[in-house]
Amino acid sequence: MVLGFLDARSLHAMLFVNHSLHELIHSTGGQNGLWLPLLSQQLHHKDTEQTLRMYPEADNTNWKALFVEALQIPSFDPKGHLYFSLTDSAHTATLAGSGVHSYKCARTIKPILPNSSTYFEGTPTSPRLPLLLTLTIKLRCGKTPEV
Amino acid sequence: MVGVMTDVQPLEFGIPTQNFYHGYCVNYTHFNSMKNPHIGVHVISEEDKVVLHYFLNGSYIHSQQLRSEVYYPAITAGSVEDCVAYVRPEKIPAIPPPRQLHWPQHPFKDATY
Repeated sequence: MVLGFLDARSLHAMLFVNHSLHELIHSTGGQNGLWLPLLSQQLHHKDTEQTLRMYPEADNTNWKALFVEALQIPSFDPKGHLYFSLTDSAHTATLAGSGVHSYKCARTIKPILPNSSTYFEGTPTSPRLPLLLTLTIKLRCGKTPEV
Repeated sequence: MVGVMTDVQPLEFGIPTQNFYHGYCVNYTHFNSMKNPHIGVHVISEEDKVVLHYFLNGSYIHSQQLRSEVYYPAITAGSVEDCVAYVRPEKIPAIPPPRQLHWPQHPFKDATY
């Protein structure tokens, strides 16, 4: 139905571009030429070499799958948090500096969308006072379950 | 600490408020007495409300309904060397049936920011 609105020339051009893109997306060259740079950008790396160092078995790495997964992991805004230093591709925030006397917050770049489900996990590594906690938080996004 | 917050709430504040709700605010002394407590927060957003379900070591604890806002996954810390990270979970605990959900009064429900 949608394609019915296109004339033959536009339809042919669109199919040609679509075929080329399809080959690029699914080809071996697309892994290193498309998905690896996209993943590197998503992880806020300086270049693809930094991303390659994160994955020792790079020859068998599915960069497309890793990029799709990286999209679902929230990352902190590198420019938005004065009191936090960000590491691990902006997925880890460490409170830095002295003179901290109240709560400081860091929020992710992307908000929680309507009609969505997000799961966090936090595991303090040291059972100290609430203000002295170290946490590892795990998250997953998915379809809203029926409660 | 982990929770959700809006972009209205400042990034610096004295107490956690309604829009930044985390497990350590509710009976935190209980959590603190445990070795490596595993806190899980399942956020479910609909068109007009946001519901949080809390889990401790894989077991359901309580739920909380927040007002309709746009929320962001967020963390908070109050001391140097506090560290938090987001990664994918290995397992998500199941949410109990509606009749078994527990809705305690939020300790900072009336706090403003």
